[in-house]
Amino acid sequence: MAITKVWIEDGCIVCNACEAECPDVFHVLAETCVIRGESRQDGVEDTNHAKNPLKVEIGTSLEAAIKAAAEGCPVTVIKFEAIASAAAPAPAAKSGEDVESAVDHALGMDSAPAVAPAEDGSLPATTGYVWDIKAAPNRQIVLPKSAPLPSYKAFVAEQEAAKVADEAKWQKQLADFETAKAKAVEEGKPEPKAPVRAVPAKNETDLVFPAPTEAQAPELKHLMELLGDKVEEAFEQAGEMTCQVKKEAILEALRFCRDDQALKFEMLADETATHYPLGQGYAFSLVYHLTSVSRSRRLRLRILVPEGFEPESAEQVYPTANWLEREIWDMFGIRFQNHTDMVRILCPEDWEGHALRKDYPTLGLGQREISFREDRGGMLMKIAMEAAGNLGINLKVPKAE
Amino acid sequence: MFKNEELEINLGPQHPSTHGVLRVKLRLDGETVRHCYPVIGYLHRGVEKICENKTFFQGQVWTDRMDYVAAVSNNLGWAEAIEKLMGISVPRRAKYIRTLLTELNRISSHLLWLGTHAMDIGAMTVFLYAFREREEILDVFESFCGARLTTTAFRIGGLRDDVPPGFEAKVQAFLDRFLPCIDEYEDLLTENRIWKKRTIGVAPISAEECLAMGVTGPVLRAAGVPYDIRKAFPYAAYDEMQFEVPTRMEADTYARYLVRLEEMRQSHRIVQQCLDGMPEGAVMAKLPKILKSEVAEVYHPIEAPKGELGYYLVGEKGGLNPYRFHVRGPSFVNLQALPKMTEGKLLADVIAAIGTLDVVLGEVDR
Repeated sequence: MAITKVWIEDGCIVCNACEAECPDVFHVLAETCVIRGESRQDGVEDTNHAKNPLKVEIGTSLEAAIKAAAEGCPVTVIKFEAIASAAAPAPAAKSGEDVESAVDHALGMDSAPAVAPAEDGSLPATTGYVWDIKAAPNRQIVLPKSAPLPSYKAFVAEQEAAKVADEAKWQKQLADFETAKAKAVEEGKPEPKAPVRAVPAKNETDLVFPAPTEAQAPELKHLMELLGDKVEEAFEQAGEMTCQVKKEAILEALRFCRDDQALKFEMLADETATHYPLGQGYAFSLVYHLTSVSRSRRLRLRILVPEGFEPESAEQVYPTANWLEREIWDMFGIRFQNHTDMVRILCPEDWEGHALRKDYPTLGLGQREISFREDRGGMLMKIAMEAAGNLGINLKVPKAE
Repeated sequence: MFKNEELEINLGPQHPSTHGVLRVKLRLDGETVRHCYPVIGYLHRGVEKICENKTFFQGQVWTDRMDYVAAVSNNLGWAEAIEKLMGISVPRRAKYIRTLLTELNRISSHLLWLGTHAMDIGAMTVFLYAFREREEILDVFESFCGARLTTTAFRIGGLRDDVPPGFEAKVQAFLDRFLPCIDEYEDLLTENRIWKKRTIGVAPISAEECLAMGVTGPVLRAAGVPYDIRKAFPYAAYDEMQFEVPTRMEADTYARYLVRLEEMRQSHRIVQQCLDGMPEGAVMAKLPKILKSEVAEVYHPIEAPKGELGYYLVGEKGGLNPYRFHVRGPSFVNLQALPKMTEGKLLADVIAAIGTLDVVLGEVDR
């Protein structure tokens, strides 16, 4: 393969990445990148929109560098044409078919984007700051495969289903054995061995899963009486009490917990959320960890909220919720009604996205937009773009005011 | 010269007395603070997000870097929260060694607090005394796990190794000379007239306000509430230890100073009990090679030197890493009470209040 033509389309952000990769061909000016005259047959130095051919020796010897520059271009404006090289034939090009397919592939570059797809078949990111996961697959996002919401009801249902499946498997084994036996008798062969029902492996580790159990604690029962049908679920697990209430009733539940003489949870120890992108009918769980200092008891209140729902702020009952809810807004994007100071707390005010959502990437997002308003001469911008280009970060092109 | 409008100033983010990068927006009327608004987040690294994408074992090193002066406490909370999530029972010897190291860590954290707090207020000498003893504790940590600050001391299910030879003698040598050292600090400060003037009645916060604001630790105990998670919800080997929970009624900076000094004495007692009653046996539970969680959620609080340190974990079926990991840092919640403690008081008291809250910004911002 050899590169015959290379040109720059409109939209160059002057990031210097191509010149760093292949200085013999690319030259970055103040406005755009150009193809050097020395490397071209016509000797003109411009963006080569006319698609004039490269010098043959340049196209052959610098093929890898030009391709790397085109792939590394953050806005993918470097395009090129390539043919199968006569001077350096591809090692696989022995039979006629292979040559043909190689040429096809080379010519296919005309219409297809110059950037080759990555190994997994996805296309690299085109421009910076894309929210869409599919458009920016280089962002590392591990989307969950399930919505692990701890619940006694779900646990019981799962156990029942497992039992039924196990029984069905055993019945099938038995039936298989009966048919095999009948067949063996028919053919006069010795009988097959009777199946043995598998017993669960003995647990030889010090690990015993704390299974959820029904609500037994007097606090939970008392709270269920107080709240009536506003309680969705109550259970105990790992020595902790959990009470899930309707999302509209959370303030009432918190008030009961603080003021009722039998409950007396004076302190809100913690409030936080969990993102469940695969939740059915909800997107987040909000948990409130209450502590009764006088009685040494703890209780977890939980509500499930869908995307866009604004729960009542717990600040009216427990002032400590102020910062905790600001953190939830910052990290999950859940806003609270009647909160006195609903601004971000850990990230800056102009941050995009909410970091603890499961669709927020761990790599590739978080670069800040730089304001160049004070930079009259354009020098700061050039330096910043250069530095960003070296790091492989795509900065937004500042808009003229 | 005779202007009397209110003046807005920034304390920090780069100020020696803020113990890190804390910015406090203050509106002053002369020397009186009219409004106080802490701005945090300068040290935010996204520890929770990182730990959700690391395995259960890898996450521990990040807990070292939250409250970096009490890394052992953070490790203990992390290890115990995961053990609670998975239902792992830890051998008794491992519990004792954990308790011992955590209490030593409490002493070292309080020593660092004492030195820097006194230095903020203007007493330089105590800093040098306090760091002399802290150094010995860090040597003990080094002999146990090779690191002095970012210890990663424990493993899920117990300890990686038993204590090295000569460990007990080293701890005993420290214990033997530590009690007179506390008396030395007291000689320098407790009856010092300047110290008393700078701390008595400064930055008060009542017990009701503490509970409403979620303030825990020595600040709450100095307001008269004997709430200590080691007693209220025992973990590790604390249910077998004899110790007292020191409280004061004054709820000011001086009372917190006295409470913390007494806590060091009680920690000394606990370490001595751990050494004397150290059981024999294994230090690691029998675990499968690969730890996988089930669907469960736990909130595990421990009494860190600064207050209630809680880890909230949600497990996924067959998950190798936590589905959700959240830290309730005592510094984060306690810092919220700063406006309550300082508004209407003098500017110089803000410095004392930040010191007495004992915040570590690595934990505030995570």
